[in-house]
Amino acid sequence: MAEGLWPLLRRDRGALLAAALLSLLLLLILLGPLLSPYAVDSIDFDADWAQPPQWAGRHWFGTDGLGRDVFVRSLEGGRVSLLVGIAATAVSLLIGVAYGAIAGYFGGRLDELMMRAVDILYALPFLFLVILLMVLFGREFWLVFVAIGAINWLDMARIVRGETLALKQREFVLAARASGLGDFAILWGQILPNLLGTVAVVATLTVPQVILTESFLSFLGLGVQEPATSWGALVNDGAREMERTPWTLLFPAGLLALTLLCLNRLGDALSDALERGAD
Amino acid sequence: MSRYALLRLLTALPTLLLLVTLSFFLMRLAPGGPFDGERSLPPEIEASLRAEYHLDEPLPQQYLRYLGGLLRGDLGPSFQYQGFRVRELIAAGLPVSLSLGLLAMALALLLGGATGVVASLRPGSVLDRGLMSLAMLGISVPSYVVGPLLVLLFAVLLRWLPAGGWEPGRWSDLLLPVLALALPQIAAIARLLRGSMLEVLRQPYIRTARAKGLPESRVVLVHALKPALLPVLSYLGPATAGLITGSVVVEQVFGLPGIGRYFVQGALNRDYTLVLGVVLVYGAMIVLFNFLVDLLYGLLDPRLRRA
Amino acid sequence: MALLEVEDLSIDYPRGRVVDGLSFTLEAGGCLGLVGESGSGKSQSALALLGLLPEQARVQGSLRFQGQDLLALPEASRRRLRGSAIGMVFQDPMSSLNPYLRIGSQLTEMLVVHRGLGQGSAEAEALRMLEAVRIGDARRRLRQCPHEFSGGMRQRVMIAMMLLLKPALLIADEPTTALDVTVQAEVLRLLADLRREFGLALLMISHDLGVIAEVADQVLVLYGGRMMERGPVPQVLGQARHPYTRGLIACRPRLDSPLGRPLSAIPGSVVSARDARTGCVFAPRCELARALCQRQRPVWTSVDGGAGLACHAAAGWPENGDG
Repeated sequence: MAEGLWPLLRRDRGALLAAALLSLLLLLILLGPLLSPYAVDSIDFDADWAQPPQWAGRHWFGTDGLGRDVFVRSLEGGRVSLLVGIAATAVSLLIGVAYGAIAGYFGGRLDELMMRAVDILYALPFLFLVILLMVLFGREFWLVFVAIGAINWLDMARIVRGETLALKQREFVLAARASGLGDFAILWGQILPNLLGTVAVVATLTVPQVILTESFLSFLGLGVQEPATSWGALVNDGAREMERTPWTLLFPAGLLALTLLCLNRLGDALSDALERGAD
Repeated sequence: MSRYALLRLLTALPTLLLLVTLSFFLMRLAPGGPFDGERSLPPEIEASLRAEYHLDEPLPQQYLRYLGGLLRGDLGPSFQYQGFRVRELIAAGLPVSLSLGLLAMALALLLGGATGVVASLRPGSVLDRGLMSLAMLGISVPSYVVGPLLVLLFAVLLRWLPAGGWEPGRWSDLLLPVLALALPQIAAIARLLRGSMLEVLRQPYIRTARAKGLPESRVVLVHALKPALLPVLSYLGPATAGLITGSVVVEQVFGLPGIGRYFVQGALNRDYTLVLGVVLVYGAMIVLFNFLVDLLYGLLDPRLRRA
Repeated sequence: MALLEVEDLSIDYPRGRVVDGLSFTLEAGGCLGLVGESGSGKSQSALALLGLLPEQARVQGSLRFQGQDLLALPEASRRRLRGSAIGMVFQDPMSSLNPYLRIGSQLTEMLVVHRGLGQGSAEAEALRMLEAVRIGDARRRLRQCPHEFSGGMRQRVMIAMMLLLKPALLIADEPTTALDVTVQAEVLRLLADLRREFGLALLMISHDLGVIAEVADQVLVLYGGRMMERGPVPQVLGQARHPYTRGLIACRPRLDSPLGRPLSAIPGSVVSARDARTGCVFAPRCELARALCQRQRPVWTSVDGGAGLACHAAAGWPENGDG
């Protein structure tokens, strides 16, 4: 999988472009705030409030209705969104891989029971429960990604289970078992390393979903709270002020869309490659 | 088949019960209550209010009381909108939410379907790549981003349409919300259908259809489309869930008086019954749609008809 | 005028040539067997006749059907010929019928599309045709879907479908390969009967010489996209001259061969035309091959009795017959 990434990118110029753009965005998000003299919540009293973007001026993306720099805020929002995206994906990855690998490896009754539970959970409109959770238990930052991770592990569990079912019939697993290795040693040493490719693909596709969910919650005012911000929260603020300061909507919305676009494009290319590899 | 349908419907009931139960206890376990307003009520008034709404009873008893009400079709009184039953509130908002959701679903199926088919006919062509890039953009831009952008473009800049609001019977009010809600689903369905069309067009029976001298339109629309629609059909369940969550924000962005706004507002105000009512309606819609999908599946796939 | 005249048919793909210089004629009501291993270009040739090759395929040569040049026809006219004048039956009856549509509608749509018949009269015709291919309880069967039929039944439905419009030519691409042996015999008998009944010309594609011997009167042996030998069945199969044809005959399992005697097999594996541009395509696997065979493509030579073949050895090592 890892050695498959470069040939893949060289063949698929769309994916290459997505990867390059994504790296650029990441760099910008991480280093961008250093380029600008403004802090996220600092108000520039010298500048006009709601100042339109100006490339020659000091506020490249303009300022919002409170005189805060939109450039810095958009990048800071991106940092939070990406952080939540990665952290929540890690949560879903942890739960999903453990759950799926155990169900697939041990099989039989246990597998049936565990997958039945997944089916039932699938039928629940989970986002509602997360909304309830967020509304009701204060809006703790860590709760955001635990909650989102907790609803996104189902896909991962299903896919990992399927892979594990196939893997455990392979010779090297049978050989490991014949040599007397214990179940968990086999799971850890033989199964898990072979799941990495699939898991990486699913994770790549999960990150944009999670970012979507987070920004959805933040848009409703349930996610990240002031003074911290995220793309969803910025889009929400921008939408409210769009008649006066449309740029406060356009920049974060554009960055959000661009990031998701790149991630989805990359995930698509990876899963295509994985499918081809399976044939 | 009717027995199968009935069975499906019966197995859906536990799902709904689970949903209601989870939501009920989740809300009650959370700190705060419906009467923690800004001005605190005198204790004796609050006590009488709590007694009136049976909040003084033990939790299990309240739960059973609520379920009993459900059996009689009663969703209980609203705490926030005093004097209103939850059923009345939902009945007022549901037509708006339903028109929004159903129109968006119809639009997504029509436009997404047409796009997917057109793209699949010439895979790799400029048209195909263009449409699929748009679709990729579509699934990457959520409703709550599309919504404000549409308002910005059509209402603020072009001034063609109202920015929001709702007057009964004015269908143009629904135009932008429906579009905002449908766009991600249009994109998702287009991608899905293109993929399954490509798969089906490779099948030997399509070659047979061509060998029969059928016009290409008939090959595509009769012989290929029907099997290719099956994956789209099974996506309708998740699509319904997506549309519902999307409608919560779209209703907020466009100021539509649907039931979506009750959900967030209700939860913030600890309006237990209202939130439960909305969750129940949403859950029932998802269950109902999944059920319809199952029935349609049986109709489309003859091999399942006898199962 | 023969029903079908194929002259110097070649099919090229970007990755290479798959059919190279195929020529034959088929009289009305006749039956030509096209024999060869998989990958020899049999099915490609058949699809070229129908105009159903993928877009990237380039077809050269001349295909004359009932006097018209098929390759010069616009796509719309070719489409109208498909199904109505040229029918085709495919190998796998399981996947060649649309599993999602009723048999009835798959049959009647032929008549509705090509003839503009109403649903009622189309159904009556379909019913007659199902009975002609000996499917019992046809009225009920029309309402069923392919999965409710057995393999042999499906192939008969397929044949019925392709005969509905009384085509002059039926191409059958390995029509019995996917079927049980007993069912195979039934389907072959049915094809032979229908051929007589409808005055149908049959282009039978098979890797199985037994099938060809049973139904065909002319045979054409293909290897690697090129013609090896062609002629009347008794002559070509009775006194095969080409080493490849002989090899094919020798590898047929026979019930009367002594137990324990190994079946002979042609050594090596099939090549396609693109692998061997110069020389004889069969040379790498030919027991008789000499240096000449590697170097020079054998010319087509006619022999007595209307047969012909392309082989240096059979032609008595012409030119500088070095070894």
